Amino acid sequence: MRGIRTLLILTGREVESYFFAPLMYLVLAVFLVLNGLAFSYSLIDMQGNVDATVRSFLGGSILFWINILFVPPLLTMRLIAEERRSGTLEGLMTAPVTDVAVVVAKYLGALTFYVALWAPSIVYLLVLKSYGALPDGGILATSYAGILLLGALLLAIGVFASAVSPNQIVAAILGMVFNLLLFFAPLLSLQMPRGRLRLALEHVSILFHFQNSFAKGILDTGLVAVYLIGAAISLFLAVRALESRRWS
Amino acid sequence: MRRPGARTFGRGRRLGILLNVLVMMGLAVAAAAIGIWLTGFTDLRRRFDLTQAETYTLRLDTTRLLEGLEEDVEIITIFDRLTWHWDVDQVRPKAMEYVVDLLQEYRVRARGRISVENLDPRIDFDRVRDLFTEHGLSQANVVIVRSGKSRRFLGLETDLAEFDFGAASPVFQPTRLLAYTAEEALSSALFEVTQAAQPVVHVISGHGELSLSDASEMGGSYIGSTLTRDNFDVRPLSLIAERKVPEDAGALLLLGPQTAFLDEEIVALDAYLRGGGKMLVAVDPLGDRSLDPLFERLGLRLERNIMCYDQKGVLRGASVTEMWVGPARLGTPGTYGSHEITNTLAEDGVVFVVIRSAAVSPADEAIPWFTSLLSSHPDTFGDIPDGQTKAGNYQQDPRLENAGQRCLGAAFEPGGAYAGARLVFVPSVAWVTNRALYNFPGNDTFLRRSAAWLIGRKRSIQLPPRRPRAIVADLKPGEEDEIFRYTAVYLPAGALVLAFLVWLARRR
Repeated sequence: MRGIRTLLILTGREVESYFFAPLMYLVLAVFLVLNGLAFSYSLIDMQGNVDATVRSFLGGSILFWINILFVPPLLTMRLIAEERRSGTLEGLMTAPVTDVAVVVAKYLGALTFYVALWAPSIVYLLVLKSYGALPDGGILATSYAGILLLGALLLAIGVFASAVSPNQIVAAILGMVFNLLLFFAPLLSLQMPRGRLRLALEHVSILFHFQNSFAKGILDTGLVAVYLIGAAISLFLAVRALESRRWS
Repeated sequence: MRRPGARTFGRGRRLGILLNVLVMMGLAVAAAAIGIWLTGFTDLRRRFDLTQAETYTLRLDTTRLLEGLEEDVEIITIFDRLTWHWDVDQVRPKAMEYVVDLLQEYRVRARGRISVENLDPRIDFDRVRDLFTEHGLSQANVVIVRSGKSRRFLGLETDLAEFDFGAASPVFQPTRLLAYTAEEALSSALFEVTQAAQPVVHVISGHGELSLSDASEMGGSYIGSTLTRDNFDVRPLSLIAERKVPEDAGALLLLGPQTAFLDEEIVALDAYLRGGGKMLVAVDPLGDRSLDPLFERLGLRLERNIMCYDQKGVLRGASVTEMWVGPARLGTPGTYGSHEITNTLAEDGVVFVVIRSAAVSPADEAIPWFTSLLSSHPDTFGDIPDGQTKAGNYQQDPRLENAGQRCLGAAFEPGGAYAGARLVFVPSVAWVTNRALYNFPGNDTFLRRSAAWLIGRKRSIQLPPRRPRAIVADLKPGEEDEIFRYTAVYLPAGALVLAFLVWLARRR
């Protein structure tokens, strides 16, 4: 119980640090510009067909994938690497909190801000509604669920990258490299002969997940597990990386 | 006090920590792999369809079928996704995508009984080529459903989706995707390959007919592979040797006999038809005439004149004329009649090609069970041949050869002593040769549909089609710009204002 309270307090402080940083609002502004462009162009490209617009905007446009792959590392880059560089991490590590609580709190803070980044896109739906066309609620629900799950995974990878990097620039680059690998490596399956490896790669392809499942209104427990397990593994590795400071 | 630079742990302790870390990480990765495998590749996997129209939710009949599957089934899609600028290419990929998505549901629901392989002829070239060779396929955009020796082939446009191909000019009326019929087609195919008995089709031989073993252009080997694709068991039949039609015959195919039948053979055929037999008759206008009396008893009158058309749509050779029959909007000289054999053809715009044809008509005009499947253009005329085996001059002799619309193929259910029998009659045989079946999808479909109608095959599982949802925002000129301003300018500007306010607050 005490551990949860500590976790909540730490998370609250992390969330506060996001929302009281002007830089984060600049990130939000850039994010909204890209999202706005993606939405408007999708609407024009799909000739007003709202379901097709949602599919294109949430998973089918290049701007969506730029946001998804590059924003999480920017949110997480400073979490551990910057504290380590500035020396504030020592203070945190000597406080009566566990490494797990520190990592999870930072992760949850980033996840909260990530949700806040996507929240304004609800306005787009209101815009569509004002023109007499509402998208399929199921497709919207699974698309946003997909975005949340993908964010959960990529932010966890970002936390791990931050934990193993000497400074935030390296952390951001490392996080982006991980994300790009995650995005592009499974695409090799397209050129592979049929077999278990191709099947396995297809199963972990975040692009295929959106195209074949989330953007179509399907929630697949197999995919949910991929994201949650992937996030858990990344956070576990981040904790181990943090702990490794005590070994030297 | 510890000396600066001194190690916290000894060498052995550090090695122990390293081992511990490695083991822990290995266990974590293994646990992750097991978790992903359990949730993604076993019975634990579930897919929830949250779409409002439940687009991907399998119907009860399908789920019962899948859960009761006792044999392994292989489903292979061969879809060519290359998009040209034709209007049909804009909607065809949607239907392909739907079929692939639906098959995911089938696979998950069948708990390992179904394997699905999605092939693109441009990527999986070798595999597709092998399948084409194995099954005598000539066109992509098919789904193969096979289990053991049974197989069914489903065409994208003929079985899996319903299209409105619009007008001849896509500018005025582009092709539209009307409905997805994939679930009915796939579930029926699954049922047929796993549970239904395989209907037997006998191909009569011994009179110079098209041979199932002749793989040349003018041979008939594709007839076997075409019908096998629809789960028919195709066997040759020598009436001379057997003296009667086997009891297991679902239907007979008579494909261009050139020499006369013996009396015993005619008696055997007559007995078969009197017993409610089913028969596809494709006779060459210049071929054998020994069966004409039998046809007349059935109520069919066959003109032996070769149908010709002097205008668009006819290619003339030394002994061949080609008559193109299709939907009127395609501008073909001939048209389809309304019948379950030709209805799909008419919707698809697939053209049937009749090569060197005569005309057929009911012996008695009052016969109600005669349906013309293929009609020629009103300007066609029957060219009277020179003698029994030579074609005429292909020129209309107005004194003898009258122009007029004629029936080039009919579905026929005789009454009286032959009640219960069914015939598809096409007074031409070249339409069913390897060359024709390979080059003209309409001929292939016509043959398959005819065989299905003859044996009375309905879809084993009947399910209503699903309509694609298309809600379109009613945007007026200028409103797109307005949306752009709200979403890509005003909203981000709000974030910048917030950034400024936070900056101000922090400065204070």
